[in-house]
Amino acid sequence: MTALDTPPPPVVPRDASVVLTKVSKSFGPLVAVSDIDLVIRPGITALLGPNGAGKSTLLRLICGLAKPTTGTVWVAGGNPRFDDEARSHLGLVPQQDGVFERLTALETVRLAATLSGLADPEEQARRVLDTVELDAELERDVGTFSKGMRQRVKVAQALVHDPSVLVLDEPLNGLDPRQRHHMIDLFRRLGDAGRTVLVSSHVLDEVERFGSHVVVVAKGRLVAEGDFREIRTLLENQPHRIRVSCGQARDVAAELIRLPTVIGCEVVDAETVELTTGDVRAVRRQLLAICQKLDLTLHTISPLDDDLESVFRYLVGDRP
Amino acid sequence: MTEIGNERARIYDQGFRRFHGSRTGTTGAMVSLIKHSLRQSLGIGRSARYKLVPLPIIFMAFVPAIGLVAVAALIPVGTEEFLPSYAEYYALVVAALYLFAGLICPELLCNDRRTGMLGVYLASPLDRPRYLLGKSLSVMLLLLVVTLGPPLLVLIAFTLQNEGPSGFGEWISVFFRIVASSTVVGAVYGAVGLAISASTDRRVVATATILSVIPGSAIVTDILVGDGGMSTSLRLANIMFLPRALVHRIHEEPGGWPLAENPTWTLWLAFIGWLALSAGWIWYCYRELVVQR
Repeated sequence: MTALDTPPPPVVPRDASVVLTKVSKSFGPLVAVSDIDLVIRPGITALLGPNGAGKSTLLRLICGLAKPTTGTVWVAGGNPRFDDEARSHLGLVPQQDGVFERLTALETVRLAATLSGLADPEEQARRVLDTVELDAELERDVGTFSKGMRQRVKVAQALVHDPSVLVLDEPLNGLDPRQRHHMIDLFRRLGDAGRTVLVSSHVLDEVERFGSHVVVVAKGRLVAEGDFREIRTLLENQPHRIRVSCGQARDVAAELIRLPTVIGCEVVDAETVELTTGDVRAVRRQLLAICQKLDLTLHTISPLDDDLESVFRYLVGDRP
Repeated sequence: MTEIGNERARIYDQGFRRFHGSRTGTTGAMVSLIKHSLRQSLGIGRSARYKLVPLPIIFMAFVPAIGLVAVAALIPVGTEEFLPSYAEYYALVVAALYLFAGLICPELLCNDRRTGMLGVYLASPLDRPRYLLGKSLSVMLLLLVVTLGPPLLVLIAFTLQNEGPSGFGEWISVFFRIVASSTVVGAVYGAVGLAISASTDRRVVATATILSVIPGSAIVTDILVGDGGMSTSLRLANIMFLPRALVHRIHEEPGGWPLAENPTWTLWLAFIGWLALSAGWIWYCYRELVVQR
C-alpha cells in the first residue's frame, strides 16, 4: 500500500487505545459489520452480541486480520494492518484453536515470544505459563491437551509480549469453573493495571464478573456501549421489576397498586411482593411511606432485571 | 434509530420502536403501490433478465416512430403524402400494444395473489377497491408509455422539423387528440387484460388467454359478420380493432376498418361497455376472494 491509499488517521481521543471510525466489513452480499464508530479505553470491555452479530469479525478488524470495507481502525496509535509498532501492542486469543499441535506448551509460547522479538523468550514463556497455571516442564505436545489447557496456551502466547491491548475471543471456552475464576481474575488484574482488555463472550454471568463496561452489537451494528447498569436506566421503555420483602404482602400490594408509578403488582408469598414500575426512585420513596403507614419493617428491595442478562435481552432479544 | 445516552453509557439502537412520525395514509399507500408496480413490470432494480421482455416490447412500439422521424428528416418535402397519419400510427404498433398488455396485466395482478403479496397490501391502508384502482392506474401508466410515447415523439419531432401541425391552435388540437387516442387504446387493452388476469393466479395462463382473446375477438366477429351475415353491430365486440376505430373518429379521419361503417356513438357505447364489463368482472373476482395469507 502506498502513502496515497493509506486512510488518514482518525481523530483519536487522548485516552483511547482502540478507535473504529465508520467501520464496515462485507463478505459479498453479507454485511458482517456495519458503520461502527467505537472508542475503547483501557480497562476491561466486554463485547456482547448474539451468534452472527459480527463480534469475531469486529475483533479480527481490530487485530488487523481483516481489511475493513470502509472506515478506519486505529489501535495503539497506528493502523494494525500496516503498522508493526501498533501490532506489537496487540495480543490475540482467537476463538479457533490457533496452536501448533506438535509443540509443547513451552515451545509454543517461546515461539510467540521469539516472534515478538523478546530478549529472553524462554524466561518470558515460563513466566507467562506460570501466570496461566500451566506447567512449563510438561513434555506433552499441545495436540494432546484438553480444550481448557489449549485455551490457556492461547492466552499465554497472547500475553507473553505484555501487550497493551489484549483481544480475547471467547477466552473462557473449555475452562473448568476454577480455571474460569482464575482467568477472570487475571483479566481483571490486567485491566486494573491499565491494559485494554476486550473480551467477547456468550456467558453473560461471567462477563458480568469481568466488569460493567460493555459494547453490544447485533446484526453487525453497534447497539449500545457503556456501563450496563446505566444502559438499563436508559432503557426507559422497559419497566423495572422489583422484589420487595417486608411482610403483609397483600396489604403492601394493595397500597402499591394505587400508586401511579406502579404498573403491575404480584404477591409472591405472604412476605414478598414483585412489582413493575417505570420510576424506581419514586417507588422506593413511596415504599418507605407505605411501610411507615402499615407499621412494617422493610427487609429488602431487590431489582429483578438490572443484571447484564436482562439488559442484553432487552437490547437484542426481540430483533428478528 | 434513536440514540440516547450520557457520558457513562449510550444506546444507539433499541430495535423495534413505535413509529411516531407522520403517516402518508391511503394516498401514500396508493403511490407506493403504483411505484412498486411500475418498477416490477419494467424490471427496474432487478437483474437484466427481468428487463429482457418489457424493454424490447417498448422499443418495438417506438421503432416506427423513430423510422417516421428519420424518413421525414431525410426527405423533408412532401413526406406527408406517404407517411401514416397519427391515427394510422396505431396500426403499426398494435402487436407491441397487445403483447405489452398481455405481459404486464398478469405480472401485476396474478403475482400478488400467487405470492401472497395481496394479503400484505390489504393489511396496509389499502382496501380492495383502492388496491384495484392502484393496479389499474399502474397498468394505464405503463400502457401509455407505448400508446402515448411514440405518437408524441412523432409530433414533437415533426414540429421541430417544421412538418407538424400549422399554428398553435392546431398543434394543441392534435396533441389532445393524441392523448385521448392513447388513453382509449390503453384503457381497452388494459381493462380486458386486467379482467382476464383477475380470473386466475397463473401468470402464464392469463398471458396466453389475453394474447388469444384480443385477436380471437377480431377473428370470431369477422367470421360471424363477414361469412355468417350477422349484424355489423357484432363488430363492436372486436376488442382488437374497436380502439383503433375510435382513434380514427377522435382524429376525425376516415378509416378504422373493420368498424368503419359503425356509427361513432355505438363505438363509444361499446368502449364504455367493455370498460364497465371488465371493471365489473374484476370487482366480482376480488370482492369474494379469500386472501389466504
